[in-house]
Amino acid sequence: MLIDRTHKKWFAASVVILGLATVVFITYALGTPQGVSGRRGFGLVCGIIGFAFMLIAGFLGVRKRVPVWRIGRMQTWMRAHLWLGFLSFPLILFHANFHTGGKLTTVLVWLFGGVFVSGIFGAALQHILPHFYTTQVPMETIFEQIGHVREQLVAEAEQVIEEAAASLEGDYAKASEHQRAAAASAGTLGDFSVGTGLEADEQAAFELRKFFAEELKPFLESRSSRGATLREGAQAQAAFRQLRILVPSSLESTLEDLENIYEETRQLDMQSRLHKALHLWLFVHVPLSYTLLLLAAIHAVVALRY
Amino acid sequence: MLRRVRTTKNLAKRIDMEYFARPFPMRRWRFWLSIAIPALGLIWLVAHWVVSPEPFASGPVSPSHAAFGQKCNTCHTGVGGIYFRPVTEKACLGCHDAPPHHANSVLFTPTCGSCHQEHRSRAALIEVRDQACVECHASLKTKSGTTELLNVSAFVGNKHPEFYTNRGGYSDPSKIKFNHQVHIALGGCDSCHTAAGLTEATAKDNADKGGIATLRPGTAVNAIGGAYMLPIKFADHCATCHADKLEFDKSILESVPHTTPAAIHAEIMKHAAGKEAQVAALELALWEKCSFCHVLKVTDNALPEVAKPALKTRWFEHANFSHEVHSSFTCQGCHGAAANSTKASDILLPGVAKCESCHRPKGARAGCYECHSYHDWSNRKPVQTPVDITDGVREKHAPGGQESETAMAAAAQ
Repeated sequence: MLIDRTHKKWFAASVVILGLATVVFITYALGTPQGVSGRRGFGLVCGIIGFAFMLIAGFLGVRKRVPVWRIGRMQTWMRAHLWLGFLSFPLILFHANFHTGGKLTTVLVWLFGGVFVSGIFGAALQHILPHFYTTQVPMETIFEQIGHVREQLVAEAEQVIEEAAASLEGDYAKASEHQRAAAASAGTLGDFSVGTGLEADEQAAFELRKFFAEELKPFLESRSSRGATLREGAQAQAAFRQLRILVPSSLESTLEDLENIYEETRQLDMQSRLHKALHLWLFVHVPLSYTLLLLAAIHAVVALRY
Repeated sequence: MLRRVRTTKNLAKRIDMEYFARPFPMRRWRFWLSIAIPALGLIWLVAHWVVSPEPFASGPVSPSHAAFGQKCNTCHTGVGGIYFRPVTEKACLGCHDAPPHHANSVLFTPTCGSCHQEHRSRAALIEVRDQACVECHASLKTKSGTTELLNVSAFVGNKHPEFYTNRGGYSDPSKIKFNHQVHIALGGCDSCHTAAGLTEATAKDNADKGGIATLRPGTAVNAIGGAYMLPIKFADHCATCHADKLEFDKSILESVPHTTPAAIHAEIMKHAAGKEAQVAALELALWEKCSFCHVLKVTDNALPEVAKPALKTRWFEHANFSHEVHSSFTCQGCHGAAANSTKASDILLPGVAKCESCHRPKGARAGCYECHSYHDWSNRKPVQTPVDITDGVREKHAPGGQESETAMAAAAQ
């Protein structure tokens, strides 16, 4: 979620709460012999409010799982998650008087540190990467469908190659409608007769198939594109330039199609990488958050009840 | 010309409409991690919990109480829940004697725990926060309503009053005439002022190198634990250079031991009896010689009365200082005025500002407890601790010490 002007009220409220809590904390810390104690007074209040904020922030996960609940808009919950989650960290530090304390509280502080840092990191990524998406990956698709779409792109590329090669080898039956129409007109394209092109250019067909089998197909099929010679943009451009020399210029549109398929696949690769970068922090943030909530709840119950 | 056309319809056709119903690796991993990591956390907590309630302690036990290990109920003897029983005063005072702080003057006596905070990292329990002191001393009120003490709210930033010796109007009460300038020029400071650490061997070594042996053989050293300078005595310090006999007219009385005026006068009368003119001259010489170092009072019997020297070894009775700790600095660094002092009445102690030049934030520690003691240790009483750790079994014993003796005997065997 982008933190923009619509967050103005949340921002202002957070600044006020944080400022107020800081002033009271400093007053307590400087004015009392023991400083702030989590067991009583201001420290206890900070602990209770901080934990309440943590619970509200954590409730976003539940809210997402049950979108039909009429308990406020998802956007509001997301804003609450961002700002209350952010506020809860300093409040808990005030509650702990910036001490890690015993074993459980030390674990809690470190967990909270992990959750807080990963959350800030995630929020920052969500500001930067979506803009990158729109400029660098215009051919994006649904992330979960990337594999499925790539399979279709391989099939599409294979079909384009087969049609072009068939037309070069003179196999009229396998030629595409476009090529059959060109042959029927018996016209010429530059210094090359399309009609003759249907009859014989086995060498060009061989080169085309070879390019597909050795370079384009491994790239299209490779999930991570690692090892494929076309993974570098400059290398791919050079390969397609070379191919243009080898095949008749009448197949320019075929090459453009292939290049377009290649470009779409490359963008899907990039989308996959960006998506992982954009969501990988959740592998830290979410499990640590649940652990934190569980152990913090035990800490709160034991501290208040026993 | 590009024949591939990306229409919405084409793109939609490529999508598997059931994709969201199938588990996706990233989501699946996140889900299982979200179960596994909290479960691991819970297992860790329970595994520790069944052994001891330590995970719920509010911090590690200080090194002073480390011997108690996980026997929390050694100190936590108050009434409360399972995990948070308060520490009672009785539990503290059972092992520690803590003489009260100006019991007749203070308006209230804080609990032990309000100043000595346990379970706060590895910090020593004696490192009491300044707030514990300035809570009262920032605006001191006493039972009687009056106090000679000035308010203090911190050590740095002019929040600590100047030492009483340096507030003006105070002079050294030593009642000795002494010229620091002359003596420092001759032998430096340490020819007279010696803190602990100087042994007879080092004194001899000092003399062998052409310096002045500052201590006579047999002089007690380390008597004050290195904190304060040894008392200046004529026999131990002055007599190292000055002859320990007073010289008079050699034709009548060569020398007299450094003793009381009456004893010296008796010696004069013994040697110059009947020679009135010489007796008068010798008596005059006696006045002159005594008054060279001592403050004299005129009395009715014509003999001077020597004001008893009162050389201080400790100037601030309510503050602690260690010369040994500060021995890496030169004497002049703090007592700079001594090199030019010609009168013993000069105050040569450094002021607060001098201490503050090191004891300040980001410098040497400047807490109240660094110099001052809260408890009046002069009223200290021995305490029989009820906790035995001799045999590694940390058990609390019944009053009377019988069990303790049994345990110690068992440990000895």
